[in-house]
Amino acid sequence: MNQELISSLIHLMGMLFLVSSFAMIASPQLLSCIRFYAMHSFFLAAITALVAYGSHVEHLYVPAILTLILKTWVIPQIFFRLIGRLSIRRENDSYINIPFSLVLATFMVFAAYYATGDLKVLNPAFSNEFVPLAIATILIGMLMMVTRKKAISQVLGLLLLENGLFLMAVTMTFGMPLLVELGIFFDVLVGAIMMGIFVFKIRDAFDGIDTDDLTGLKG
Amino acid sequence: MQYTATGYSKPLRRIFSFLYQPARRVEVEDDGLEVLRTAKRFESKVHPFFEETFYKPLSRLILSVSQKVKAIQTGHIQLYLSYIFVTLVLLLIFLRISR
Amino acid sequence: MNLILSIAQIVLVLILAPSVSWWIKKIKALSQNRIGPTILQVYADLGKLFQKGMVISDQASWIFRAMPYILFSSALMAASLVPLFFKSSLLGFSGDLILFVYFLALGRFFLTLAALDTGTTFGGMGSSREMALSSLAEPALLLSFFALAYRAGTLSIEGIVLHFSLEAPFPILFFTSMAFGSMLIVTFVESGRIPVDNPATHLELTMIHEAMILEYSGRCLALIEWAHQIKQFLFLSLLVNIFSPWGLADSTMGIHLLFSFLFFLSKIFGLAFVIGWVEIHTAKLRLFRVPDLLAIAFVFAVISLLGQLMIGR
Repeated sequence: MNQELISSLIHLMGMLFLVSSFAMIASPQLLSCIRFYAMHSFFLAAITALVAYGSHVEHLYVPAILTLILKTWVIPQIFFRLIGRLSIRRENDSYINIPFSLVLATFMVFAAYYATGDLKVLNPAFSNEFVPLAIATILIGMLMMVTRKKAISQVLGLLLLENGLFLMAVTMTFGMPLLVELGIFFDVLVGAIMMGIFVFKIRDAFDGIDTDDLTGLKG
Repeated sequence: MQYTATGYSKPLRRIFSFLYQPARRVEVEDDGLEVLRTAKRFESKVHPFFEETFYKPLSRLILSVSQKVKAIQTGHIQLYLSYIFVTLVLLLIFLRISR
Repeated sequence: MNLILSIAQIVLVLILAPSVSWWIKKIKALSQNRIGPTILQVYADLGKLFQKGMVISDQASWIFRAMPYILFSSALMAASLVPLFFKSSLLGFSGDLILFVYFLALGRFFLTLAALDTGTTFGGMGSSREMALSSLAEPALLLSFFALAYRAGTLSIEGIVLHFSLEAPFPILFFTSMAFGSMLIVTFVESGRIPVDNPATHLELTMIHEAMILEYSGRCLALIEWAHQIKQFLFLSLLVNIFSPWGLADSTMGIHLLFSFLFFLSKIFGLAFVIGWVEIHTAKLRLFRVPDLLAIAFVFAVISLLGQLMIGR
């Protein structure tokens, strides 16, 4: 395949990436949020593999496969089991309603494009377009963390943020050294498992995982 | 009889009396006959000049300012995260404007 | 060669300090139609005290035993900052005026603590009076030092001495002479002479310095007496060297040094004669009148400093 085809495929994947992050923040139910996260990670893995193929950077295949396995399959499975055992309400919990959060997410995308749209990166992967995209994903992940009540939704926001960081690393610098990436993957996996364990412990200790009770800790 | 701290500082208190403004009070009780005293009370105090003029106003000012600043600590984690978030977005926009 | 001369200066301080006390005692005796002690008498007194045994109370702590050594060594350290007949001192450096005052303050601090140590009332009385008076005398001394340092443009004692020795002889500088007046009054306070404290009194209620050392005997008392004489000598030599420094040797030739040493001795004994004269002709002030005298010294020092800053001369 020639470079143009690869380039347009990567752009398509990038657009789908953005769409799925919107879908994550706008989904009313927790289960669909997790499914959209799996889709998000799939597109991320696809972008990584295409960049690896198109720029002939062989060692990027490993993170692509790892992303595919861990983030598209293993972590969502952990979440599904967690939700099943916790039997929490599957409704989404947010301080702001869905249209308003969509408006804010759009604003984040605009802000990201405004701030970094005209940056010229040396040796970009096929174009400069992914820097604002990655930053927009990071901001949407932070928005999700800020506006959610339950811990699970906040962790999903964190994972979204981490996906955005990974995208930036892949497209700007063709991935970090392999060892660093393996370390990051391991961190994310362990973080998800720990969160699973701790949510149980917190619920046993405090009869609930709502963070509103922390408002007692003030001066 | 050993020198106490009050006695030790007596010359200083007297020399710098314009600063310390010591006040003393002696009360004598008797049953009507002036020669036979039943009780006597002595009280001496020093006006805390430096506390009143320097330290107390300063500490009152600091406490009142910190009462007002306390409002940013509500206990909600999301609020703290949103502080970081808003700062980040504003910083990105500001960097772009200044370029 | 500089080093040897500077060490010789300190040795001379040690040897000559008691003789100034002798000179003042002799003058006072002669004015009272007595013969007075010979010069060997002061040295014999010190030697006698060194040979006697010490009686120390069981209730006294380590401060009582350590104080004479601390007082003596702080006086010696202060002596190493003052040039006598040679232009440089052993440890002089920029800013050593403040260190000079602080060495003396260190000695005084331990002296007052040790006076409280045995628990007698006279010690407490002496140390409270000493603290009250020195809290007024030290600022006056420091301010007059600063006035002189401003004029000389340097913060070291030997720098000040050098600057004044390079000016023409005998100009009357108004503000500098106010600093002289202030330092002279402080000298009376620090050496415990008649307007402030009677050194020959035996009435405890009139003592300041003597009351603090009532409990001491033997070698400790000898060291304390000697340190007191060294302090008096240092103040006199500061006055002499700053305000009439002509004749100070700045080369190391033998004949220059001898000449400047003799000149220095005559100036010291001349100033000690002035102090003796004041002692003869005035009476000791009441304790609560001494702050008035020290306030005069303080005001002189302030006028000297401010005058130099704003008007100059």
